[in-house]
Amino acid sequence: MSSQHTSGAQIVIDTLVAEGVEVAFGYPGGTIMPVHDAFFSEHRIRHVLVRHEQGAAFAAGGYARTTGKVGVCIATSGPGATNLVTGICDAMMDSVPVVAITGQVRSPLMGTDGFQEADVAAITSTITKRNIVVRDVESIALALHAAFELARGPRPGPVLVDIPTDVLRTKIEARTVGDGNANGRRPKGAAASEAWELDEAAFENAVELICASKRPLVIVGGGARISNAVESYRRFMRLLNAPHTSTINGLGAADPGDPNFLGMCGMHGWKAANKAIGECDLILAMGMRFDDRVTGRTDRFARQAKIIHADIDASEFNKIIPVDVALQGDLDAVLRELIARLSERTLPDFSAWRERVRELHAPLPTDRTEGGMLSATDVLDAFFELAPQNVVVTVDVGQHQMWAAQRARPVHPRHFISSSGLGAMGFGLPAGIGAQLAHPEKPVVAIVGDGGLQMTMNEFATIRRHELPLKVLLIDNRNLGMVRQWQQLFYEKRYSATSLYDNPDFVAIAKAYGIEATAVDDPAQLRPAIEALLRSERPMLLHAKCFPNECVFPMIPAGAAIDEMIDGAPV
Amino acid sequence: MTTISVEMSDARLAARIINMAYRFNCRTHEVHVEPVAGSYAGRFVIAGEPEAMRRLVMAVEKVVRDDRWMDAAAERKAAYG
Repeated sequence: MSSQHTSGAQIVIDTLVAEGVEVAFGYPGGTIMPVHDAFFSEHRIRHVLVRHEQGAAFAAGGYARTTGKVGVCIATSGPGATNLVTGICDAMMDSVPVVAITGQVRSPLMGTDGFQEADVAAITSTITKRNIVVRDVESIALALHAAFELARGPRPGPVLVDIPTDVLRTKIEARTVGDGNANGRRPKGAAASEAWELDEAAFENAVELICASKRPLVIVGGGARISNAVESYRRFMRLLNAPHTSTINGLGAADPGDPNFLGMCGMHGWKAANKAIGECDLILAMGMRFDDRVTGRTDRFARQAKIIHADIDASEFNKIIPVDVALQGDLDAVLRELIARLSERTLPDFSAWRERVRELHAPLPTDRTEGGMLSATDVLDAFFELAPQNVVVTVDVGQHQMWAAQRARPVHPRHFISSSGLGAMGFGLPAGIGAQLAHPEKPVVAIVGDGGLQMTMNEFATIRRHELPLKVLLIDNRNLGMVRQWQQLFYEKRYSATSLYDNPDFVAIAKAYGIEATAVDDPAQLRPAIEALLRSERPMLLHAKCFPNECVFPMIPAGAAIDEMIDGAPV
Repeated sequence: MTTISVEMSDARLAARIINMAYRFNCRTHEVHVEPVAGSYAGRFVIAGEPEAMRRLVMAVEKVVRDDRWMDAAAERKAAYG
């Protein structure tokens, strides 16, 4: 910086630049105005104006999930800050590095119920790794640098920095902000310098358990994406030559062509994957946290198996499932260590187990009961068949999310993006915006339902403003389908508050925003419609009008064990 | 009854721990927080079901780790720019 004096707001910008931030998602308002004023003449960072702060938080999450860089969202105090909350919580649940910057009322007004005042630090205390209220202009850069460092790791997550507007306006003598950490994928600074204390005994125990096993099963989770462990994971699986499955956040860690990969496990997972969990004698849980959607009834999860659990976060060990061996560390480092140690051993021949798991395989059950109408699963089957290998998919939450997760075979975990832990409807479209901005050269498709799209479809305006070539595949079954499915199966078909029979004309809405749009309801026209969507170089919506009653199967009913799946609605 | 003792750089962690105890359906009996050499020493006497207490202790360890990490990051930045 060369000017003699600089404002707190300018320090915010300069610190973001020093941290390597290239894009920030924001929405202006009273207390954050100094920052947006600084953006007026700022060319080093692209500020993306969203149409609701929730879109900013989700877009920052989509950007971060697809790049490994820290996503940044900016909002004003009060309602602006509270509108970020769902997106921040989503980032917390899925360990996504996000820094949220909020304006705050003037320092003397804090605590007086001032206009647009909210104690966002208190509100977000349980959904951030930490939050900071910056009290003086000299502390802004330091607070932001620390926020970025904490957001990055070791286990990433959101950090919120709340800055009173008077602090943003205050000018101080200019000095170099410092280059901080480039917005790299891996934790730097402290994380890199933190020596990894390898637990020799734990690794020895793990190797012994693997070598003594007859029926091992690997479950990979979001840790593969977070620690950039995909290459090591694939090497490890080639060496082990054993069956493996993944959580929804682990999709893409496995080589898409690996015959040992069983697909996603869990509540709507593939039958072979869930049955294998029931029959295996050893589980290697790699960067996953035994979410209840994965385990089903915990007291009946993997009853015959010993458990090796690798995670960067020691607090995950024994949280849900008691483990026999805990390998604490960055997943990539853990896998490399295991590869080195197992390479020196003669591994058992797991061919009989592989054969057994092949016998367990069953195709996804069909629930296409109304001939002649478009089926959501047919739409997604066709989509994943026609989509290019490098497609980046963001999904919303609900039935389409599970159908997509069952079918997707992403080449990398950063190519399948889902609000998995929080399950926040409205995520898909803004996350797609973040992903497309991060990867302008890649095809990005947001697969959304009619319920979720209506939560954030105002972001069509953001897509149009920035001419993002984002594609939107809308699976419209005129219902809040997943809730309806539960009502059908477990609430005696009492369909309360789930019908969206009066949905708007989505094509007309998209067109009103200047987005090319078309609808399809004829199965014969499905493939040409998807091909046109994928061919388009401009933003486009394909509205797939599907019949309303299709359910997601297999399914583990609530309270059942993971291998007690149902293939269809009980007669 | 279990006593959880922590060192906190951010006194707000005390409120966080009390809230977590409530979430785990545990009962907070005593809370002592005092400043010690630039940080805070916290002592919490909490009662609850053994499984809930086990999870609570793990959750407390996690937030304390993040607290230390953030603090260390700020110190490093202040020291080295």
